[in-house]
Amino acid sequence: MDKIKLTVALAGNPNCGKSTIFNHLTGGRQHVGNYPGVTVEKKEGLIETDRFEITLVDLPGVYSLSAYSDDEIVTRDFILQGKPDAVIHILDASNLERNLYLTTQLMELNVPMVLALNMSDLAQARGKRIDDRKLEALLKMPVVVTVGHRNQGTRELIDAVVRAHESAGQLTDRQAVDYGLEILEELVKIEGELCRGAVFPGFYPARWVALKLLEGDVSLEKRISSLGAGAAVLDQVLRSRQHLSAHFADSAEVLVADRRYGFVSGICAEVMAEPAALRVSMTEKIDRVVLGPLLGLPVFALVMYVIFKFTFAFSAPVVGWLEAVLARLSGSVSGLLPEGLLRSLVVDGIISGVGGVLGFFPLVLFMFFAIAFFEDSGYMARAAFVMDRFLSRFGLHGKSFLPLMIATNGCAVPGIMATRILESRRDRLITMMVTPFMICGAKLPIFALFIGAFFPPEKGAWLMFLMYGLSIAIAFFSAWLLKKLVFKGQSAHFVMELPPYRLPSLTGLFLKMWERGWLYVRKAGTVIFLFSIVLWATFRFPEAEPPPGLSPGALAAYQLEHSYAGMAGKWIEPALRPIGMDGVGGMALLAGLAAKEVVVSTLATAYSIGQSDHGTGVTLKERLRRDPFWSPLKALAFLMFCLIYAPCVATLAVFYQETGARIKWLLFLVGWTTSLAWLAAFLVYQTGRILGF
Amino acid sequence: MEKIIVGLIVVIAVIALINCARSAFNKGACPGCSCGDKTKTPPRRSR
Repeated sequence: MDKIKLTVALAGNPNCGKSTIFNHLTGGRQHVGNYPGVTVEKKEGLIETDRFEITLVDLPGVYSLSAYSDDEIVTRDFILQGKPDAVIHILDASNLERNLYLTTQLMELNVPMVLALNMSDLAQARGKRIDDRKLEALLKMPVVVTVGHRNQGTRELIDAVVRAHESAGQLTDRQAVDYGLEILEELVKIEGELCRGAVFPGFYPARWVALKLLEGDVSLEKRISSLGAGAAVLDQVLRSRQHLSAHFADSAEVLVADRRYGFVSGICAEVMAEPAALRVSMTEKIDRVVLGPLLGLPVFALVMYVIFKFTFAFSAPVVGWLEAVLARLSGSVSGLLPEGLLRSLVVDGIISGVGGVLGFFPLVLFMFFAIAFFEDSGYMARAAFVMDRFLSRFGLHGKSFLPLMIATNGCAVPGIMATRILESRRDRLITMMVTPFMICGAKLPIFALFIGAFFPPEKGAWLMFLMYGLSIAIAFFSAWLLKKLVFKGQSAHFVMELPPYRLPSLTGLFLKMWERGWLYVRKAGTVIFLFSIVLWATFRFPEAEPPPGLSPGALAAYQLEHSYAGMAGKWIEPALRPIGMDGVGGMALLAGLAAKEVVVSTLATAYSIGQSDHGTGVTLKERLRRDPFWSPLKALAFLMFCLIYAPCVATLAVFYQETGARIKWLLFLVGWTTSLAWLAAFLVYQTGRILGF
Repeated sequence: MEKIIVGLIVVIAVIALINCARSAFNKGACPGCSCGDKTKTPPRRSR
């Protein structure tokens, strides 16, 4: 029977012991030549087993696959054009971190790989312990421990090559570097141009070419510029590089390298234990405290508290000023327009509704700035790492914390989309179910409004911090319950990227703050604006005939009570009474299903119509405080309900699509969150009442 | 006259909102908010 012929490439850093292993494997059966066009030595050897005839190609020793040297170009071109059946990647185990950088790039070439942890005796002598099984699980490729100069593990390498070749179909299941949303967005654009112009078809994967062009690969740029549609591709590359430089105040090349180093650091943190004396860099010194089992969580809690303290302390005067301006605007418009429906629509509907939400714009900006600071400094990646220990106990995948953070940093919609980084469907579904519990930018004004109205200003940051902690706790508890009851099974292994710490650039921080803040304003100017008009109509009509002799205050309350919204509120009130809410609050919550900010605009409209002080410059906070119905306990129960109940339509829509358009999961999410919200609010309100609050 | 103008405004707002909801379920994004814009999200990891 003919033997199966395989071509296997041997790649690795210079001085990783590659040639020693090559010599052991091939013995004397070697052939030395040159790669065409370059003076790079090409060594080939033959290995024969009972089933296979393997041609082993010793590639030049390289540190990366950029295009700075002929060696690097030869290596990557051989893998891409020569299409070997597998690559044996030799790593110097005593310098794992430096060697893994090449691994990240080889993985991007999408070829079956086997890792040889060479010089493992030297690594051991230096006190480094490497968990090769975990490394294998994380990188999803066979890992063999070798000691080249003693010929240990070399035969096992060939067995592993056969295994890798035979399981080549599962190749794309491997963990690859997560370059982050910003870089990915640019890669998608470049890839789009590459595909549109059909540039580089065949053996070059489009994503790899896009990444290399973003990194400024001169060799690829030259080849692309000579092609017909090349100019459009290079134009896009230039725009992408400029966008990333403006955003991060660093070149795209550095950013990509940072992400790769982050990935490598993450793997090393997972699989390697080394004596403390060997760790010297500032990043590692900080990580020793920040990622420590003792201080990890307290540091995370402190960072979150600092974010809220900063947000509340610095935004309070600006929020107060903006509220006063909006109240004055309301008063001025009242004076300009004659008494009637149109004035009520503009003042009670549009200005109160949109203004109620827009008033918190500075608070949202300050919050996004603070979060962007910790994100860009590299801390948020550590937060996810720290939380991983707890997440796994609650049935969540370690990477699940990233979608939760994205939801907190802005919106649950990108948070749910970010669950795509999770590979197992079970992990994705659990994370998607609990992501809406986080306090997104849209829920922030509700919390700011009620905390501002019913609690002393110095307790604002503390309460917000508590609510934030509670949202995480509820997400964890739900995940645990869902794991126990609905989604049973084990979580997959993962690598958490740990990029080096860096001082964030002010331009980058302001850009991020503005991008996220602008969405808030856009939403206020579109969806919230439209809702304010419709909600005003439901609170204003039908025009009831009041009994004679009512005071202006009683007249306004009568009108509200007999409106469509008032009647609907009355209808749902019995279900809300046990949790300390009235019909108006219920209507606000119902309207909040459209967008969470609408809770605030609904209350603003209802209180503007329902009270006789229209256009007098009284803020919603003040109106809520004056209303005898409300108390701090009721406010707390209301916030509890807001924190947990069904997410907004946009989130539900994305959830529906991301779960594969399964209506059962959508209904489950709405039912699960709303019943949990009711139960939590009930517990808070009834316990508070029993305790005499 | 005032009632007709106000009525028209409300009807236009209702139609625009229905459009918003349809757009949200079709594209995963509401027009007033690009946070769910699919063009801004990374492609699914191929398996």
